[in-house]
Amino acid sequence: MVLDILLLPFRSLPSIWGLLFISLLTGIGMISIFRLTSNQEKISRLRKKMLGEIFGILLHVSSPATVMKFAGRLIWSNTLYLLYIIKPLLVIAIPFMLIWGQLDARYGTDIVDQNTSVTVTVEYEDSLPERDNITLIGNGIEIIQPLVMVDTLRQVSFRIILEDGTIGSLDVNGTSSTVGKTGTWNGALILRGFDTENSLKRLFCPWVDKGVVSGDGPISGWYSLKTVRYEVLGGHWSWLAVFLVFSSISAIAGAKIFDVKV
Amino acid sequence: MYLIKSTVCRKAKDKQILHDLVVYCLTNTFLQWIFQREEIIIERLQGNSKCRIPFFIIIPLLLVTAVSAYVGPGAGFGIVTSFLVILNAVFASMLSALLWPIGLIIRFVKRRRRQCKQLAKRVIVLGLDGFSPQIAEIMMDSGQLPYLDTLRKNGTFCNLQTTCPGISPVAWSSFQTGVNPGKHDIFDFLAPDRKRYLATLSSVKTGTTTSRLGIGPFCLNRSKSFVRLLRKSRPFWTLLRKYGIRSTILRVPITYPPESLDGQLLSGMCVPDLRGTQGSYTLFSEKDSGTIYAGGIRQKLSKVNEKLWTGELPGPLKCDGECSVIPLELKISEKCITLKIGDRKISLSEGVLSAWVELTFKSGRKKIKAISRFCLTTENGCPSIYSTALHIDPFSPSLPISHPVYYSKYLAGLFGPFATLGLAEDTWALNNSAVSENTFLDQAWSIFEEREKMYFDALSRTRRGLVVCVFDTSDRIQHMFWGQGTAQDTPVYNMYLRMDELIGRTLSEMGKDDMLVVMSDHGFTSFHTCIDFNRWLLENGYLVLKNGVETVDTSFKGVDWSNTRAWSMGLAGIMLNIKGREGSGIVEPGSEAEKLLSEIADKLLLLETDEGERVINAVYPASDIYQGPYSNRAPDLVIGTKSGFRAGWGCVTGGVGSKVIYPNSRRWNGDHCHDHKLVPGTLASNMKLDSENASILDIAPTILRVLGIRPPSYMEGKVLAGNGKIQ
Repeated sequence: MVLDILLLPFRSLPSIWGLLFISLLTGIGMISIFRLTSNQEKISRLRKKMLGEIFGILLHVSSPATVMKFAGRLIWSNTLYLLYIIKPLLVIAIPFMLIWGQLDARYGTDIVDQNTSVTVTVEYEDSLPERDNITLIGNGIEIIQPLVMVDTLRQVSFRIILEDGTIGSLDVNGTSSTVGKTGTWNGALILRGFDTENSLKRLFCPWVDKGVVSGDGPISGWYSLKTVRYEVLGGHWSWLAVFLVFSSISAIAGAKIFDVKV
Repeated sequence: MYLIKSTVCRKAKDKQILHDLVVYCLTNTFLQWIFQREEIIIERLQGNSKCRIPFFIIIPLLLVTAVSAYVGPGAGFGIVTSFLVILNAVFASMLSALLWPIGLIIRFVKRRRRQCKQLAKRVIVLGLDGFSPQIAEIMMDSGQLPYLDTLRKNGTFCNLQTTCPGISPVAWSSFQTGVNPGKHDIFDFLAPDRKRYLATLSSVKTGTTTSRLGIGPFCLNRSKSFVRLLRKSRPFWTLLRKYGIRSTILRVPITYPPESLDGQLLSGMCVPDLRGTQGSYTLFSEKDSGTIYAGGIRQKLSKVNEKLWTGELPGPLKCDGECSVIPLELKISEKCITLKIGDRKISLSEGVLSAWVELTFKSGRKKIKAISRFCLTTENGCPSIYSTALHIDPFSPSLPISHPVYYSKYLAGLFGPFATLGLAEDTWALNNSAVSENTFLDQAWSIFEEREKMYFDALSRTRRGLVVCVFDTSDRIQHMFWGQGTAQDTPVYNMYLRMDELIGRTLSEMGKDDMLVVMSDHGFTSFHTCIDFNRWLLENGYLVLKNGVETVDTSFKGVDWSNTRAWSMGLAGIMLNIKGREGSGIVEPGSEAEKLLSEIADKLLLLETDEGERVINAVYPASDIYQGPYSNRAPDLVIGTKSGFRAGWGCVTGGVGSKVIYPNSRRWNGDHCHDHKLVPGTLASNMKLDSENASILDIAPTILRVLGIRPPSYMEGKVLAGNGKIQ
């Protein structure tokens, strides 16, 4: 919801702009949280110590024994550094994972093309029903036979085509799920599968639809969607690369501007 | 379940993620590198650094820094990238181990062969500024300095003749160069500007040069500031480079700005503070503001309410000539006292010096980093804050204070911030009662401890070669507490005990092939009476004031130079107003000048107190005591006062007071600016040395000899070790 509001001004623009905006904003946000939750004094002191140890290596480069001593001290200081960032790490982890999931769901895969088929794989809990007992009902979806059944994995695969290219629903032996763009009021999330279990995991994986089960239908399923690549600085970047690089740039800038010791 | 499955099914995608992560890490590392290490790269690219470390070693090490200082959208990535720190540390170690034999061969091939037999693998020079041999001897005799006594019994302990005059910058310059002041051009703390009759610092020149760049009407004026060391000749440690002998030189006076050498150097006396002075503290109080005192300034502490006071800490000058400032806020509550300076907040306790506080002044787009310590006192029931001089931050030095430039960063990184000002112990603050005796002593001893850490680090890292470290605490404590005597538990007594402990710790760190030299540049004696040489010159008709002028505060303002024949500046010098040499000289050089000199010298020797006590021990004409290309820049006469008497405070900087002889009312009551024969320094060693008439000029040739090098012919001292023979 929050992301939808933040991304509202970018709706009419190519999706990369929204991703860039969120990346820059996330960097600033994370660095602010880091500042608030970490012991800045200790980190600053340790950083200087580590730099001192590096200069120690440079100063005594002609003495391998001294270099090794400083290298050992550097590794120890690095361990301390990791200890110092555990607290901010834990605090940041949850919002970071939430954002990660949201961005992956929005920018990770392409929407289902009107003319391209998508492979759907569903999994049953105990054993596969007989081929004739598998019923497939699509709403706004064209189901393409044949069914491929893998008994050992309790999986059934088939292909579908989304008729209007945005949303449809699929019913397999009474288990129904949504296919396409949904999840929020403006339909920005692209679903990649469904799971009938009630789990908090879905909070971090918003691309998984909550499948409604009735009868002996499958308990989960996933759709093979196309990964999106973005044209940035002459290269083809995944959303993750864009996010990591640009959020880092904004975090570095934020750290510089707000004098955050990291 | 879904997550596990989808992970298995997306192996191909994971490869891409891995690729993206690598791209990300490299980008991040590069950005960090640019942001954080720019000065090193610039220095390396400009070729200013004399370091011989190749880029391929620097780059991986910088990557380590960058990774350790990881900034990402979550601290979680710190874990991933921290592994790179380990990887790089291991890589650096392996690389160093692999390159070590190659470096060893190169050094072996390139270095010169030693000219005589080496007597010690390592020479350690422990300089104790002002350590008096007379006091040490008394205390050794009563068994209070056991370690020094060990040196006396098994090695050497003797007086060390100092320079004329026996002042630290002069004596330490002679120590490092092995020549008399006529060859190194340092005759005093101050050097007279003879054209303008002004006092300038003798050892350093700071200024700006302007260069024009452009074509036709498009011109750009670029100004660049410079710092130049005025001491001439060469320190003996720079000669060691040719022989592949490394040195670590810590806080030896007159080493600012640092010169290049094979090893490390941290500059000492004459390193300025960020206001460009030799140390000016700030005292905040509700009283008068902006008043400049000797050695400090007073700033207004404005009361906002019963619990809150505000003020401004003045820093370095900006390009527009204005002073950059940092706002300061003092909050006093029942529970605690907090001081907010800029964005830093510290807790204060009354009478206790805070730890070093890092301060950032903004001068245009530039940021200038300083460190300072604060102390809360009360003045007539009102709070008052003392702030030490603004020391150059050793971690981000805005002026060159070490060689290589990152040596100060190394020390600050390992041991925390430390005093970088040349005269770090704030004697003026105690003189002006801005701090208590206890606060001053706390400050002096904490500076001593900082230096101790650096010194023992240098000892542990320099197993062969030369280590020199000068401790100034001994000098400052004697200056300020001489009047309390040397009885048990007096500051001076305690200082001698602590210096002996330092010698003991040094001995315990030494190997059997090491040589220890404990030395001081001069001794100490009392200073209870001031002599105003300018007043004396005035009363004897050699100096003339303009009509209506009775006294002069400073810089000879009001002196009638057209009728003045002699003037005094500095701690022991009298100059003639020579035609062609001085700006308004009237004395003809040659016989007239010589006659005048001998007349002044004869009269000075007869100068006495109202009680009939003679105050001058000897007067030395410069031509008798200095030889060398710069001897003509020396004062014409050097006055050797008797113990207890010294040049008055005002006349040192060109003042003319109302009395020739008057009591010294300041707390600075011990000194060594007397006849140099009365204040010899100390020489002690674990090696038997030829101690007869040992002089501070002998130390450099002796150390060279001990390290197997023939002292160069320009050095004047004699070799005290190896029976003085050079095979």
